[in-house]
Amino acid sequence: MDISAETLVKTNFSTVDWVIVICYPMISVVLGIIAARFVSNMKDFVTAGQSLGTALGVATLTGTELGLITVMYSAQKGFTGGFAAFHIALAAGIVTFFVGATGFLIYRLRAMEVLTIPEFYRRRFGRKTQILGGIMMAFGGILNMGLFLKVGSMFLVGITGLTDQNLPLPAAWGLPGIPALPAIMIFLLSLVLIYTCLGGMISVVLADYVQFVVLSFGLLLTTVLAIYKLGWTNIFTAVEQLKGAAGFDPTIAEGGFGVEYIVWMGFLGLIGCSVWPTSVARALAAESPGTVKKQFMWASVSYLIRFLVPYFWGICAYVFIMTLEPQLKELFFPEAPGAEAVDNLYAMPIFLGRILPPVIIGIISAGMIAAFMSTHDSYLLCWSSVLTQDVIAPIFGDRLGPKTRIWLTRVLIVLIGLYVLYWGLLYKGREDVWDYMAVTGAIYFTGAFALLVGGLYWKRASSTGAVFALLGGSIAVIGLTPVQDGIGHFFTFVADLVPVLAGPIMAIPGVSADQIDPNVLHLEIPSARVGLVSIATTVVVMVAGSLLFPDKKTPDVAADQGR
Amino acid sequence: MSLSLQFWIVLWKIVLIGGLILFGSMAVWVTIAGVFDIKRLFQRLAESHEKEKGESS
Repeated sequence: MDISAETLVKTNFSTVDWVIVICYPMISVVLGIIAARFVSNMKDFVTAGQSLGTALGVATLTGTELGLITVMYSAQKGFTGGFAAFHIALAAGIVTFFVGATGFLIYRLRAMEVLTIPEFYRRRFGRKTQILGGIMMAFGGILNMGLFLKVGSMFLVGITGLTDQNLPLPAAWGLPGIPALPAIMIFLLSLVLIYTCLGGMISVVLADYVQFVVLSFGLLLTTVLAIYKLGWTNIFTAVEQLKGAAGFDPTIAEGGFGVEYIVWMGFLGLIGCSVWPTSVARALAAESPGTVKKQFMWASVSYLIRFLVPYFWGICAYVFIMTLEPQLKELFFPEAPGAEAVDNLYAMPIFLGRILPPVIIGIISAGMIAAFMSTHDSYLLCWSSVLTQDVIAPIFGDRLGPKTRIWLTRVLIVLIGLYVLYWGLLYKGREDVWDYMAVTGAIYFTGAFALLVGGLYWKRASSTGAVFALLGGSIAVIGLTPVQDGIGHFFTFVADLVPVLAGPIMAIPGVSADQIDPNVLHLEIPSARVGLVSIATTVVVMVAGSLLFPDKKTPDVAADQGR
Repeated sequence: MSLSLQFWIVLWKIVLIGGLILFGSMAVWVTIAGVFDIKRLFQRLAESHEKEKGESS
């Protein structure tokens, strides 16, 4: 075993912890089997019969939004950005409280008694908008969850010390073994698919509650242990020495944030709680519009903590690696020319694997797996039910019966699960996972924001404006680094083919020549800028489309119910 | 005008400690009240199924 493999394998994870980790997810599978007995129609399957009380609503909202993917990408942001990343958490908490206090968007949506956002599109803008909205939502959303499985599995691989390891297969197969990461991806995906297909939202809610209890106390305990290990004052001093002011001040652009990024995060905070379908699904499942407001005000604490604590763990992992573990420092920040750094997503799980004692590490890992499962189940259920209810059913003229719809939703859950496995192994982007999530989500939510605000608060919003806004949101895809690379290659091709166009192409913002080969062009636009431009575009085309092409017939403005 | 480094350090310390205390309190409340909500959820679902059965027969 070489020195790097030996360093990565070191962990306190023991056999007892393996037993805890393997047995714990079975609780969710059992809950799914129990819940299946209570499902008799699509309303039960998708919104748990719209019977959630405030506490259970907070637990399930937290359970969904505090997923393992959130913990991982947030820890990565804390690792790279330091305490300056805290501004994202603060923005999310404040904006969610504002939404809860005012009922902005969610109150009126719940008052309309719709099951999904595209159903609102249908009642407000018509069937075509519902179908297009459903497609855009599912496209952005499924792309958005593309990295969940891989990143979640990386946590388990990192904390158990299985990084770069092969899991043994039966000797009779004559194969060398299967790499740990894809093996764990397949295991976790199988568990999620089984219980989500069985019980729908009822099993999701129960699993979320169990996850909330285990994970919330686990988060607090781990944070205390991390502070105990590194020292409260030392953490701040080390970040100050290693990162300087950029490690604390988010307005400093050199630290990876800046004012533009802060504005983008403020908007993402608003979207994350009031437009993002999995959050809205919880609002629509509440027992009354009044409960929704209480639920969101309480959940603002969760929206703050779901980012804050993992950022802090990422910061602690950074301090641990930079000040106490020179071998890990060499792996994550190699000084040798040409040496490849270990993916910094592994930093936090490796850190936890070193500081948490046996049994506690098993419980925390089990809690994280529960977090992973509760996010996956909600997202799988959300996108599959959108495709069933808002794309396929309207195409068939709503002739599909309840049993066919539930069956179709289950098939789609499996298909989306298989895609997530495929995409997790395939995608190679350079951006932080959080920025990948923001950009892919923006494909859907920038258009949805314009439709929801326009549809609920502006009587003149028309179906043509809505279609324009939905399509306008798709420009957010430019924020992905592989897409920017593709556009860069295209510009290079065009400039080679028609040299006279090279000058105008170079004048496009974000386009630059390669430092080594000036004939190769690159496009590099910050994801925050792409996101903000997408929002502005969708709002402008929504207003322009509505004013230029007003609806001839007054829509079913059931939104008035909420006024 | 940018704020001093000391301001940001103090702010993030307050946000972290305050957030942890708030979240700890909320976790205790949700854990206890959630049990009662689950009971109520199953009661409602059972009632609605009974109603559906009654209507279909």
